[in-house]
Amino acid sequence: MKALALEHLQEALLGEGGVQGDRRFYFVGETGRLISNKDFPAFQLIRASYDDAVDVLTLTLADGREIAGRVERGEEVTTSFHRRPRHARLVIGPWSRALSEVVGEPLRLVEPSTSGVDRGRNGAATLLGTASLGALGSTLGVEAVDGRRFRMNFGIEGLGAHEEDAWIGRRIAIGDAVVIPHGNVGRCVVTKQNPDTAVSDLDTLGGLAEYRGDVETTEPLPFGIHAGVVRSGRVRVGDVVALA
Amino acid sequence: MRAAVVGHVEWVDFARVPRWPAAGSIVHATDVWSDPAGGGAVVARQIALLAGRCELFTAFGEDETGRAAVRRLAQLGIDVHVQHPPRSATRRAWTHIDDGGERTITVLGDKLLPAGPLPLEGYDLVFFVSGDVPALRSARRARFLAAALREQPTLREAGVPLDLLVGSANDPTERYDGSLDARLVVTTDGANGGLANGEPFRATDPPVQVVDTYGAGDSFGAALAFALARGDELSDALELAARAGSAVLGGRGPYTAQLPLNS
Repeated sequence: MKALALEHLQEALLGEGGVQGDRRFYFVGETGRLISNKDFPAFQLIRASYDDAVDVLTLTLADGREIAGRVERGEEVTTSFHRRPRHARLVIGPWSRALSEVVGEPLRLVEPSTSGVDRGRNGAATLLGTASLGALGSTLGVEAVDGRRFRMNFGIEGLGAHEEDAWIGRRIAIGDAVVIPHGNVGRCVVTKQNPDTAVSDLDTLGGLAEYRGDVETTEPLPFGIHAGVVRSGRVRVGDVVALA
Repeated sequence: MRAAVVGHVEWVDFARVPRWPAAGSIVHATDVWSDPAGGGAVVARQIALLAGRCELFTAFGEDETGRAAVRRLAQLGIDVHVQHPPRSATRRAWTHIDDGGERTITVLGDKLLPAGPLPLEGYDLVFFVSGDVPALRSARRARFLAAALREQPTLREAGVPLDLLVGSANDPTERYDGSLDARLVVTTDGANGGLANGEPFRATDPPVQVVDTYGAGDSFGAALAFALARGDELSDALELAARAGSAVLGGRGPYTAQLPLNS
């Protein structure tokens, strides 16, 4: 679910719409605008799991309470997803009310009719070389930077720092899938938030501005790349990632 | 109608046997199955069938049994709010169903009670099966509050007025001394019907073959609360409740024959 705690998979099916099941649902406010952890950092302390076989959605709140039920689709609505209109159906069930109580504002859970990735088909997948985390950590003077801050689909070991930037425009095989990176992922304040506490405790944007401010990029404050999928396929932890 | 149930659930292994085993004897089950059951689950499922949806506030241990129970309850159309009391295990039970359909239950472990306060503002109906005193006080925020007779010490301690108090006349643990502030008290007596504020009412004829009595009383109470909360006259509500209690008798386990709204 968009903006909630990350789920780490051992294996995923990557298709034109992104990782199967990724961002299947999201929350909107009263006006239909997408609500994320930029609005409510504590969102990322809430875990979501969806059982496709029985259509059961479970949210686990930060205090351990669970809210589970069978998903029922309601009326169609037009939401504002990163300022772009996106059709979705209201999800009927206990989750909207429960999350509204957590954040103190009325929220509605929706299921988009198409993939919920941020940058459309050209951003169906996001990739980050783990060495880039080391480079940012060195700039910030910290031992390690938690990769979950950047909420990427795939982390890649064995590259030099920001070597993945050079892949833009080239065909990259990742497991059984093939992707073409189309640009850099520009960063926002959410990356300052500690994924375990939801507290902003690291000046990631300051660090990026300091050592990446002059980099030629498709989005400001770049960290990682986004890609379109040209061949769908299964991707497993440990798969080789290489030029195709 | 916005409806919720506060109550316990246990994971029940059911076994159909020719007869309840006498001391020292062995019986062979002819059918075995498992389901989350107990008062909270059965009442919530019956209300979900009648009202369209029903939320259940309950508690499980953080274990595989609890996870399986949540998944199954959601499949049954119940929206489940789960608490995990520290260092607790999901309660289990064995239930023998004999050839006459009578159920005999052995419970294993402590009843895990949902703890309050609970977010029960704005509900049309809350049915309190079990829970702690703050949970019951939260339940009183509902427009209509029903409660099961089996938790009388909690009902007495909370001291909240009840719109409906319902239980069995034949269960010694549900014997009622009249000390609670309840607008309507209904006790059931199986095929004899029961009493509503002291006035007798009739049972519905049971199905031709009684398969299983598990859940009949709870389904009766759930349907009665639903009907009264939506504004039915008492006689109509009792008629619906009697049909709901009777319907369950015709199915295997508590869920296969519960009464749907349009029956």
